[in-house]
Amino acid sequence: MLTYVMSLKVVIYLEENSLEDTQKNQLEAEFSRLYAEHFGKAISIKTVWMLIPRGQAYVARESSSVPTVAAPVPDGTTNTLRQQFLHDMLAIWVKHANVERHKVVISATDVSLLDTFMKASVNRTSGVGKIRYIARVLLRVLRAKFKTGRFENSVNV
Amino acid sequence: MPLYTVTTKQALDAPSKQRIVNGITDTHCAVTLAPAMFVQVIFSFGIELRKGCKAHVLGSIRSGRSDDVKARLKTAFAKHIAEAMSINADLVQTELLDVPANCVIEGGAIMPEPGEEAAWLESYYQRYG
Repeated sequence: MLTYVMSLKVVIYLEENSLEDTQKNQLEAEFSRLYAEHFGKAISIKTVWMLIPRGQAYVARESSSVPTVAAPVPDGTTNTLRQQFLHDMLAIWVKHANVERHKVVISATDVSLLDTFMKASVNRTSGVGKIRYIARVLLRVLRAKFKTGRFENSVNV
Repeated sequence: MPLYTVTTKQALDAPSKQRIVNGITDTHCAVTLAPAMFVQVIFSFGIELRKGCKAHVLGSIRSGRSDDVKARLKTAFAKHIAEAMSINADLVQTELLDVPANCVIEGGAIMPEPGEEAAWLESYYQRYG
């Protein structure tokens, strides 16, 4: 019997060199476990690390290394489940990234909303520029996967 | 949140980045009355933008802002970025996406709805000083 599996992308905006490889691998493994725990085996995830060079992120007007984790959930997820999931994601991040609870931003929007954001991000470009952009991003992400075992990209092209 | 991603083809120097960050943060706080500690700005360089666009702002903001508030944000962002980059404000494009506050954890707690920040901030300062 065939079972439909929904694939979700968890996108993490993180300052370069702020986590060790082992920490990233632990986080990816724990995220997969958490999704399975909350949403069952019909969900699979891919984690994509969007690396931010130092000096390109700010909070409250000052340079910042606070990461942002976009962890989408299936459309229609109840508020109770969504918020339990958010708190569990936070606990995982605090444990494996070894930071305080208030030093990370985590979103768990419906997957359709994250898709809208990602489309808007790609649509910053158009025409040939868009083709070049997509090709470069894909190449870089696949190269990183081959080298590190993780999907990694930079916010810069 | 909000999270604003500012994209340009050419990398910007530190003073230009700071000027844009200040402009975006001050505008967001003045127009929405949200605290500055919520306002994140990320720069993304090296991307060929759409024709007629020299700087692009993609913002995720809490749901509930009126069209008038969004229009004021866009106008002010264009002015600040244009000044920092010495370009015409028409060459700055801003897109804003609404994100429900209850979908985000920040400062260790679920984000408050717009206008309900006082209790959230009091709790935050009790926990983290």
